[in-house]
Amino acid sequence: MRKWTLFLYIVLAVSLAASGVQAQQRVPKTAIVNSSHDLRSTFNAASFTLCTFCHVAHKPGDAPEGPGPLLWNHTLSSVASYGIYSSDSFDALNTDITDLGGQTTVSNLCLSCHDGTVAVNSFYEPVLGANFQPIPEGTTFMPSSARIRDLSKSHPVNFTYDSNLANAAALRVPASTSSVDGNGLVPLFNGKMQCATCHDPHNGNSGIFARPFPTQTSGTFCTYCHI
Amino acid sequence: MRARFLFVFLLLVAPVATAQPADRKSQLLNSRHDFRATSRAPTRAVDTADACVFCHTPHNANPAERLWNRPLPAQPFPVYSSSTLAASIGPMTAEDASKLCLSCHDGTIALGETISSGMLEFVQGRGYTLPPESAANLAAGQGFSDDHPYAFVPVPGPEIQMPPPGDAVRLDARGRLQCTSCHEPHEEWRDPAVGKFLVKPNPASALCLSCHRTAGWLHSSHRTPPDPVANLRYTEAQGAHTGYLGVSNNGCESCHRPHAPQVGQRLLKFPEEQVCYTCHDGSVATTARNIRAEFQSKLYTHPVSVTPSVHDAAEAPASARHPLPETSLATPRHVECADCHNPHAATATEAQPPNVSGSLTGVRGYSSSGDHLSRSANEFEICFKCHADSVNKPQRNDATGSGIGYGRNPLRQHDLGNPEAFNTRIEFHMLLSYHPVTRPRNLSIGPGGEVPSLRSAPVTPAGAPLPRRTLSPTSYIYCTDCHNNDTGRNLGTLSGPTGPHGSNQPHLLERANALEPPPAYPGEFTPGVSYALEEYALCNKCHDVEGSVLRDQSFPEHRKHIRDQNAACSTCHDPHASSTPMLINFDLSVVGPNSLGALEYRRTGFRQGTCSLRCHGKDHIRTPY
Ligand code: HEC
Ligand code: HEC
Ligand code: HEC
Ligand code: HEC
Repeated sequence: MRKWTLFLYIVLAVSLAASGVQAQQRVPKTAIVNSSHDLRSTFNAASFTLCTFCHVAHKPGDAPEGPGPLLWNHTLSSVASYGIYSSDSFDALNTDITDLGGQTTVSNLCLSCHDGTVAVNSFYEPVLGANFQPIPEGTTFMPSSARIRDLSKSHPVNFTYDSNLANAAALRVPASTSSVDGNGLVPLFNGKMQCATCHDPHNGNSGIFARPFPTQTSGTFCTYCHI
Repeated sequence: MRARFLFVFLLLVAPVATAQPADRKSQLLNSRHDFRATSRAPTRAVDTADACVFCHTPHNANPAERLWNRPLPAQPFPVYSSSTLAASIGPMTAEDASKLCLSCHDGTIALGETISSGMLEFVQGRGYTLPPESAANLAAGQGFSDDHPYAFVPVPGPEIQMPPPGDAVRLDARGRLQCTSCHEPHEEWRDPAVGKFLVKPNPASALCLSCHRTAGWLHSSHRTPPDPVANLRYTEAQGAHTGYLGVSNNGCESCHRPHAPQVGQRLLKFPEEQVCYTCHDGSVATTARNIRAEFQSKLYTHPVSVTPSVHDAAEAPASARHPLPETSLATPRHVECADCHNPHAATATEAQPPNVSGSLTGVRGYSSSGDHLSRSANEFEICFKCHADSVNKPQRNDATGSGIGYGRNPLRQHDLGNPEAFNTRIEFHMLLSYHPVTRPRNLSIGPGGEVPSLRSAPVTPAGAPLPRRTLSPTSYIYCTDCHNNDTGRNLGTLSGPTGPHGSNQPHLLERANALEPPPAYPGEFTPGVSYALEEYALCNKCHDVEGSVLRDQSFPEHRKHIRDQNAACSTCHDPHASSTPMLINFDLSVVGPNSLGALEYRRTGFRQGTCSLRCHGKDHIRTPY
């Protein structure tokens, strides 16, 4: 949590530093360096493996296609059911929200490490060690403090976030089916909200890998959507 | 620098400026529920920047619903109960959203306690809980027994409806009423006068009326006081706690309070008559309705100030705990304002006897045949609640005739040994002759009639006809035509409340009705009442004493008895009813049997009869007239 708070201060400081009404920028991928998603030192891996823990430039034949162009390299989880958030005021409950178990959405990429069932170092294409040796796989699992296993207890994801829903639940109306803000800072995936709507796994500037939300009036980004 | 402030300013106001229909969570900012270090709320954290974290977490929430981030209350406090509650209020279940609110508002868990981030320190201290003296600590004092019930399924009925579709007041998906049915925890000022995170503005108790369709309220004087000036005299200083001015806009909350009222059952702001005195002590309602003064300054009153003297809204013949009429001699008598008045339904409408006037609208009662009525149509039906079939009527304790605190009781000839002697319902409805309270008399009037003394209208003490009243053979009269305030508007004056609250006349009479001082032995000499018209002001209201009675227009010996021998009306007549004709029912503390042991009035024809009795030392042996 303290990281989150710290992050918020940083964002605030950054926005203050930017003079005038300045839109937030997308975060460069290099921001991942030295973040907890920079797994090179953990596994004593070569410097060029920075991205390879998740993406790979060339996909071998046996890797599943995964979502779109992401060239996914981390072994997907085989958990069959994560549960679904429900409440009597959650408007998307009876629409298209489905259990992420067994799917290949962008959220399944996060869950492939964060549900704790697949080792963090478990790949389709081996990641090379410092001495260009494939490092041993399947040894290190997600610590329980960073595990997300029961999605009935998590902010809902994998449902369509559109203007109907937004109006019913007093949320910001998404600008397009690809992002809430219209500039890709708060992305949607085929109109759906996913883990990566709130999180940018590359944004090491933020202790919680948060998206660079345009506004943070409540000291957090929640009220960007929950206007 | 200025530009940066402008930027921050824009960030803060931008979302607020666009109006949105549904619940807007960012309205939370700077409300009393915004605990950020930078919040304007006095109760806030020392260095937490995030407003949502005090209640929500995006991951590993518990309970999952609403992504809750706080430990839940575990302490069992007593919950609301009342004798008229149709719903059953059990302990909260895990699914009840109210549990979330009570994780702060029962005062047992620190405001800064979170699942995701541990203990967040507050300006008020680390581990700060709502103190008992805080109004927001609902469990302090009487637990939740003095709070509107929550976490239950409302039972619709004649006076309870489910909130209509589209109403801001909503039940949860399980059909249960929760704190959140009335409160929207993210928006404090939807009601700009009240605040308190209400789901919608609450002038005239609009919020309560989403569920409560209390019978009679629509036309009630308590909803719309007839005097607009008096209405606005109900101010904060007078106890208006909502933030609204006036009885009308305070609505239900003029008398009730959803949290921490003095009386838990029915959520009353004060006990019993004290609720009514808030306004009816001359401060808010006009002096014409200063009821408190009546009860506190008059010699004879309906004893509402006696405590405990508990009225229960469940009173009915079928009620096991509160049977009315009372069935046990041991049950204490009681009378409270709410026994005769329905504060939800009362109006200022006038009526003609026997119908109830507006101030008595919507009150339970007993018909003249003894049936329980949920709404009395006639005034006497309300009196019959206590003065008819209740077995604990106190007059039976009056062996000597010196009374039970309301002046001397005449010892009536036909009351002797009669178990129903003080059952006014039986008296008025069953006996041979009677004042036309429950049924008309149809006696001929005018010179030569059976009742030549009857006026064409009741008169004021000064002799002017009372407005909007007439008398005829078929007319009815009210109990309150005789039993009423001795200084009220009922006498034709402009001020002073009407109604039998209190009077300085014995028997709570409106005007004087002199009784003779009893002789040492019944039948012996007594100086009686030396005649003056004022002594019989009550009878003179409807019967022309000097123009007819004393002119012997009916009984040819009236003048001799009343003027010459100082006898009182009451010595021979029973003003309620009698099993002999012409309301003759001798007062046995004055009248005794004659030398032959006979005590009897016998009617032998029109204006003819005989008397056998001894009175003022004078023997009557079948004395004819
Ligand atoms: C911890 C896992 C992880 C690592 C390490 C990682 N990524 Fe990603 N990357 C993701 C995920 C998950 C997505 C999909 C979500 C999204 O679009 O941000 C993604 C999306 C992308 C995308 C497409 C979406 C966009 O933002 O344009 C690009 C490009 C990308 N990554 C580049 C990189 C590069 C370059 C690196 C190394 C510097 C890198 N990633 C390291 C997880 C990772
Ligand atoms: C290759 C495995 C992997 C993938 C894929 C991955 N993460 Fe992580 N993530 C980690 C590891 C390892 C940590 C560090 C955990 C620790 O030691 O606390 C971490 C940390 C985090 C943290 C910060 C936790 C903290 O308190 O420091 C967040 C937030 C996070 N991940 C979100 C995501 C999201 C969102 C995605 C998908 C978009 C994702 N991660 C994908 C491996 C992964
Ligand atoms: C509504 C925005 C939002 C969504 C959607 C979201 N997260 Fe988070 N996530 C957060 C925030 C905010 C935190 C920081 C919470 C804290 O520190 O209390 C967080 C923290 C985390 C952490 C750090 C560990 C923890 O439990 O605090 C991980 C890992 C993580 N998220 C993964 C995910 C994954 C995986 C998904 C999709 C299943 C996801 N998040 C969806 C907002 C979100
Ligand atoms: C990208 C937009 C977005 C962000 C950022 C976001 N949410 Fe949400 N949130 C949603 C949507 C969309 C829903 C579904 C609303 C609905 O259907 O009722 C939702 C639902 C919820 C719900 C469930 C509401 C219910 O009715 O049960 C909670 C609680 C919640 N969000 C809390 C948060 C918190 C706390 C944060 C910040 C950590 C946050 N949200 C950030 C979009 C967002």
